[in-house]
Amino acid sequence: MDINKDNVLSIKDLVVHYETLEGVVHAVNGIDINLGRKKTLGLVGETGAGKTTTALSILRLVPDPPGVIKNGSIILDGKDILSMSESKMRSIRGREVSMIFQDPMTSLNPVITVGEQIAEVLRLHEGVSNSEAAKRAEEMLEMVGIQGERACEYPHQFSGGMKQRVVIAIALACNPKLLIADEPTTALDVTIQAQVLELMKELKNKFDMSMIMITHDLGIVAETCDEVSVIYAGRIVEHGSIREVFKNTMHPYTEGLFNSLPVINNKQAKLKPIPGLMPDPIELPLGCSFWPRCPYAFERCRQEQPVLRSFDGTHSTACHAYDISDFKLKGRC
Amino acid sequence: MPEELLRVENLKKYFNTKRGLLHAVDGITFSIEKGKTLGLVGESGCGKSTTGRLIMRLIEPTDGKIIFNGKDVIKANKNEMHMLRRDMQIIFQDPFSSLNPRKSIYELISEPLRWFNICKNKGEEKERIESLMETVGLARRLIGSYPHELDGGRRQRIGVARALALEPKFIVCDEPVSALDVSIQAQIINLLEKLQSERGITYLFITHDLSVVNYFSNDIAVMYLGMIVEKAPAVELFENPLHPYTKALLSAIPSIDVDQKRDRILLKGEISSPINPADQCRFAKRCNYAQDICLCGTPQLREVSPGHFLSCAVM
Repeated sequence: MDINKDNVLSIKDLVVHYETLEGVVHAVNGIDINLGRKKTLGLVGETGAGKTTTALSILRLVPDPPGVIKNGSIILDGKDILSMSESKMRSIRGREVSMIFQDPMTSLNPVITVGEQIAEVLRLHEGVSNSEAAKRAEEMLEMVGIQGERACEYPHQFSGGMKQRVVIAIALACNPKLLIADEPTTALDVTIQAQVLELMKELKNKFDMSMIMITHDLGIVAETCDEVSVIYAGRIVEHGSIREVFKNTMHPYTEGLFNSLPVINNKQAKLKPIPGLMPDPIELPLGCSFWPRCPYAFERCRQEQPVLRSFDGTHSTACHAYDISDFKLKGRC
Repeated sequence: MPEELLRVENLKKYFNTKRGLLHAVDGITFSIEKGKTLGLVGESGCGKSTTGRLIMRLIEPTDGKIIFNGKDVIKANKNEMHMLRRDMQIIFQDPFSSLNPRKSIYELISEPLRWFNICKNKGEEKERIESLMETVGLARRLIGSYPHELDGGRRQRIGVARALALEPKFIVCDEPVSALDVSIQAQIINLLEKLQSERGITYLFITHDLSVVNYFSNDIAVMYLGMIVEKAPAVELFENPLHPYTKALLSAIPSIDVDQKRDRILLKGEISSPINPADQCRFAKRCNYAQDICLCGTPQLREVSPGHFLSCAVM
């Protein structure tokens, strides 16, 4: 894939390992991401699929040791992230790319006021004066729906949803080009989740940002993203626009995820869980990582790693079964 | 006439806190028929888990009645309670903290069996444990494993096996799948469903996940700040929700249907404090339909159509 100038982010063949005493954990095994301006990409997968490791690589925050970025390139807005010096990297984090973490309870400093936590980012990256930073911190709070006078309060004085709003205010304070949201609403109640997602959509448009939404919830992907990449055992197994992936699912794993979800308006549809468990990333099976759980697997799947190939338009999947003529997934029965 | 297994009447639990009386559960009434499932839904802090624990009498209620299989659970003495627990069991939310990390699967499952002297000898005990493991889908080779060696799905299966060990009539499932990935979630839900159809177990299914509860329950009760605001058969509740909170809750579920463009009802603000609540509708502050009448007295649950109960002064 050529590096498109219009892309905010281009990741090519990213490989990340965690070298532990028990062995090498193959967390990310060759992931490509191309994210256009003002677009939102969903990264979907289960615990341990490598979603968060991919995100941390973009910020170069993979814990090292044991984490090692083995291969690949990450180009953020024309800049090569992986060859950058640490001091240069620090000037990029929070200014060009920000991240919202899953748990708002642990991502804020409990002994610093929320206003100061927002102002800190502004002073660091934009070199504004203390009073200017404090003023803008209050404006940011107002923007995420918190009264400005609460800037002098501490995180414990806020509820979970409010804390996540503060985290969003910090992330957006310097108007980044890319926002990475790692399960931003998983710790929140569903009505609060709806509020926070709505706020994020609104601010994304206001700031002309691109966004990567990491989640295990396909519903959130459908409602907030333009494109989606489904990750399994450190590889993208299916990628496409929301409509392509949701309406014309191609990969057996994606189908398995959909079949595991109860359908709200059809109680009769039985749940069809994916049998078994995700493979241990220390000992990935030979061939396709999904074959031990795949109802369509045949001999070739055990031998040969399928590559992501594009089918119609922007829709691509990594599955050998499509070499068989007329192959179709069974769907939900 | 369907047989009622559990009846809860005007159940209350208040906690004394420094800032005042916390109304965790504030006068709830419901019943569950034998072999059926009641889903209890609500957001964090609404009192749904407290309700589950009250029914198990893991905490003592402030007021109210719990009638299980004709017996008054609250009046039961220590011995009677011991015998009652054979018939009522609970599965907890977090399979990481609800199992003793120093006990093997064998020991964990044998605990309830030994407590009630179910097995005559070691051989019978082992047989029983192996058959329980098979029922919940745990491989026999794991019998000596410890919880930390297992993933969340398998740990939750141990929790299910422990609950099943005494062949109970009734199980409180307190968010049994919330800590699990979707593909594993579906495995556990299918298991619980299979056990119900084979053994006629009655469930109280406590969850915040509306799609799971709809799939699993016959009836659904929606809780808000310690009270039931709406209760109806599952199909009816989803097709014809009446309470503004239920409506908002349903519309807040992210949908995987890419064609369906819904009008989302966004609620104002957040759940208010359960400490010393005023005598008014507890949802009024966030409600889009609130009127003056909502601030005069707490609305009571009334039957608006057969089987459909609602507590709202406006709707």
